Amino acid sequence: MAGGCGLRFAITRAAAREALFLHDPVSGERERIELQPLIEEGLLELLAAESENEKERYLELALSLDDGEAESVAIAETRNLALATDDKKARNLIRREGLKIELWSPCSLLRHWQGKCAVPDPETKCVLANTSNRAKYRPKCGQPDFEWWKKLSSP
Amino acid sequence: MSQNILEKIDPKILGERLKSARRELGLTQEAVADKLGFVRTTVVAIEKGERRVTADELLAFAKCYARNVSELVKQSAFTEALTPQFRAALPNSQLETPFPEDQLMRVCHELESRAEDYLELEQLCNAPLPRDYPNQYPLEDSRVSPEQFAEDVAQEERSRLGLGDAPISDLRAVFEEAVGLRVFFYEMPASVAGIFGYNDRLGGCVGVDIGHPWYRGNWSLAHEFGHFLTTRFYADVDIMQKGRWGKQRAERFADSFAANFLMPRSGVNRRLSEVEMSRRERITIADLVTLADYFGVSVQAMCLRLEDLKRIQGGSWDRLKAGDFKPDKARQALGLLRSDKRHAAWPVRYLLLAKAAYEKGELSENQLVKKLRTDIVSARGIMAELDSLVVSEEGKNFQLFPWIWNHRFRQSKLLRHGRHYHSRRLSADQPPVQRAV
Repeated sequence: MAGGCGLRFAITRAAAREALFLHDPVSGERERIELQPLIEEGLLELLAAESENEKERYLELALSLDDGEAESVAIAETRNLALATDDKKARNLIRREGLKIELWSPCSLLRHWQGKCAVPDPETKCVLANTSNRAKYRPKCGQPDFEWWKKLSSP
Repeated sequence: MSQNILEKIDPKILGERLKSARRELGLTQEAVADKLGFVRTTVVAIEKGERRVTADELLAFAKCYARNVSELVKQSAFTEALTPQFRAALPNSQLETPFPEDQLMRVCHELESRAEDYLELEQLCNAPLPRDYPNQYPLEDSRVSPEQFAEDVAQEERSRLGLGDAPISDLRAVFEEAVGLRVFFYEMPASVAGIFGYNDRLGGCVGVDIGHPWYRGNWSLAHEFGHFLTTRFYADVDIMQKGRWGKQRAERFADSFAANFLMPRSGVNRRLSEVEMSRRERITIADLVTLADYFGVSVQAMCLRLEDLKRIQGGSWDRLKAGDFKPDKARQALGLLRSDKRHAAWPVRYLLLAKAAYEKGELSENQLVKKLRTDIVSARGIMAELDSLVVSEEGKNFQLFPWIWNHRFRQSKLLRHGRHYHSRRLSADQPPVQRAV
């Protein structure tokens, strides 16, 4: 997905520390998420707050957000990058402070990937099922791509 | 911007947090200075709050101590209000084998940290924990023995809480909901059974080892409640070591209180009479095991209680032990399944507050994860299960005080150590435990 949808993906150091496990839906065991191979393949870039400005913004945002979200918002803001999150607190803060950050959600990324790569519905359905079972992620009712997800997930 | 953010953080509070993080790792100021390329006096000045940190320095400290930046800069005051109490309560001077102080302090810190999180969730949801605390019972002023005093207090508390003399099917719910204590179950080092701390802001806080069986957890809860009733302002760390407490009045009281509160004299006598009358024979081991399960205590606790009440011969428990009696096997043979259960880690109300705060956008996903001491995927699973329970019950959004759902909730997969109660009458086909006590 990362290679074919016309987007470049990056994760901040703090967010990478927090992305720890997926769950095996059968055994219930936790399975460590390995980001390093993706980074080495050049599919994922690891970012850290570097400039004084970014570091201060990171600290300021860390007053109300957790590290992963704070560093991601700080870097997205200062480097003019789009941010994919469905974290309500982070999104509320971005809206409230009027930050000029283009917002995506994990669900909108998947939808973009399906459209851009013309992925057939059965394959997309399989990806959504995996996302739902292994990452326990599904969009909330009322979110922009909820209907798309629901339609594709229905039996 | 630099001035703003770093000036928002009180240097004294930040210094305390950095000092505490360094100490937890057992590092000296010199070692930290070397590692970060500072001079030692810089670390000293920052920890004392005499010098403000720069953004670079703060990020370097966070990395060095493996701490989240958000933890270090959060605006709530660094209180550690219970810590000095706990330090004073560490019972090493009374132990035959001293217990590593850092291990004990970790248990204490964890209780304080969970209680602080609980309070923060209440503040985010504007839902303070209702308290119904009785006045302290003055143990030191009493002219009777701690055991007699414990029986009187247990009766009075049972009556105050409307429990009569029946078994308490969900002791934790009574303490959380009717009294307003903060009760947490989490991993503790072997031989630490439970701890208790109190201050006006957090209220009464109890921590119990999550590894203990359900009935052992009940005993610890009742024991710590005994401390809350009499010596509220002195923290307690309950370590199981032979002969530890000797004749300390407070400990004799707490243990006796637990026995009387969980197994009230009249309730036990009545139940025993019913059993005896129905069969017209002496109490058997099966009766003992079933009675223990009925009152939610260990077989040992029930046996000693019956000895104390003179319903069985003194020394019965010692004889059973000498005869290689295995309570777990006996429970299994009788199908008393709840003995395998464990208490749930979190109060139901805590989970619901966390869910409410998360859904309102007051708590980010990672903050939720930290509140639940888990990983993102497990936290999502917990939220989803809360969703399914709440929605299926009422068909609408939940409220913050869904006590009515508690029973159903406690039986859910989410709280997989729930307390299912399988009431089993004795049957004739249970030979392994059918001997007379």
